Amino acid sequence: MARRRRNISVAVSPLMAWLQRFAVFLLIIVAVGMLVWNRMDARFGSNARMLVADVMSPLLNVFSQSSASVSQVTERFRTYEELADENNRLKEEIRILNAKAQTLDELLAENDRLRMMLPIRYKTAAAEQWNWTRALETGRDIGETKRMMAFVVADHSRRYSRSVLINLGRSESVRQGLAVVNDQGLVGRVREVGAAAARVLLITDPNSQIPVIIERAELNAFVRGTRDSGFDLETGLPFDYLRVEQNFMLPQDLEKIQVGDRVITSGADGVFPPGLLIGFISEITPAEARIRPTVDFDQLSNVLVVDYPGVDINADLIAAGAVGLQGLGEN
Amino acid sequence: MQTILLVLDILLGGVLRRIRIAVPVLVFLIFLALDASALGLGRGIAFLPDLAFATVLFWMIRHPSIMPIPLVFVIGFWTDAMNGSHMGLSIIAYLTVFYMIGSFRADVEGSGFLFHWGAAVTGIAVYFAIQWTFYSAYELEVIAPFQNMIRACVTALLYPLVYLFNNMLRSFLWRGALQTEDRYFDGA
Repeated sequence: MARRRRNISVAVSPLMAWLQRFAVFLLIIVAVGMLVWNRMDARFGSNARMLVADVMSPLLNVFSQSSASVSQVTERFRTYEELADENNRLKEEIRILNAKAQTLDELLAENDRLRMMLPIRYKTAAAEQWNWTRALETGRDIGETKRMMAFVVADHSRRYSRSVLINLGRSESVRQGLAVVNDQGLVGRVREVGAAAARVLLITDPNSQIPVIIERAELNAFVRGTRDSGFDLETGLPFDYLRVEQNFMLPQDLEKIQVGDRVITSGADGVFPPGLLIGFISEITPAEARIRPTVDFDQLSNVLVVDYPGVDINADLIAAGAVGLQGLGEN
Repeated sequence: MQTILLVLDILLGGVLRRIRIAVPVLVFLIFLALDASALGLGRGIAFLPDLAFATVLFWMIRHPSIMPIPLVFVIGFWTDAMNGSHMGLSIIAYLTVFYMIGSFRADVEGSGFLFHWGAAVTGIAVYFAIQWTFYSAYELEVIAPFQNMIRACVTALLYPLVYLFNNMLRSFLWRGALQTEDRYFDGA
């Protein structure tokens, strides 16, 4: 028996030695295989990533909350002059916004009157946008839409993937594809969901593509994130920008775009609600049009996860057509 | 004061010394979470030193028995998963550094701090270069390397602090049994 065991160990030991010697190479080959698999199927590793995020989320929460508390404390130690300046600036802003709100109320009332005169009534993109803006301002849910407050616990927006980790997961009904916004505009969409955390792909990631409307030019287009940064000439600080996809545009359409044009979501994908602000056209070159996002991705902390029921565009068009035909028939 | 320190040493040290094999991994996890957490630094987080990697590197050079190949693989896997990067990227970088450190560890062993730092700087350069190369290959485009270069430089410059911290931790954890256990674990 002992001799047999010795014979086996004599036969096996060179193999084990070989395995130990080349274990590093074998594992590197395995890792390269994982990378290739990841390239072919982006969902690969998603479960592993979210499992790790779930395990680490308590620790991440502690660090994030601590840093937020430190920021709050340092914020309190501001000089009297700074506070007075800020107070004056805010008063001025309130005055301007009040004036704007009054004009807006008048315009809304006029808009309602005009819409009542129309035979066909259906929700326009502008009306939808207004609802959304109101919902975000007042904190009320609209229709079947749910909104959930989340806290950014890990920031990978400056590393390989432009994404952040938030402290909500499946347990809070967060699911893949939900839109994420803050008070400045569209932040991104939920890419991966774990039990207690979710990964949000930012709109500045090259893998993010969003259908938009360039308002003044009345153009439908797609925008995509980039890895490049632009420089703000006033502050001298770098900022991330998005690019208008030209593959889906006619050459003459690009000529209609001007610097300063507002870019909002069109809602055509049924993922993002229409009318969410993305940014403004910041630069136009013969090769591309760049958008500077309104969201400050360097200071992301609190965000809203928006469970938008989505729009079945075909059904909406059919419904609108049916109402229109009925209206004509009645007349 | 001495009594308090003694009580703390018995309580804290007693627990930590029982799980001392796991302590470097715990330190790695804390540094990784600290690195990933949103510290409110904004764009500045791109240039933070990679303290988690530096910790693993210290133990690879100083006490390789604490960092066997399977653990290095798991650490790379964990790093990729935590950072939301492509799975395999950090694993390749970690394993390459592991192999490289192993090949010249005999020359570094027993030498002074400067030799240790030299080995660490080489490891840091290789780690970031491998990550950049494979990431560029994965994306099929040459990614701007400046961010990786700056992170590598900051990590290399701050490595002495990581060395100091982990060396103190090592002395604390292996107090009284350092010689014999080193011989046992390192197979020396």
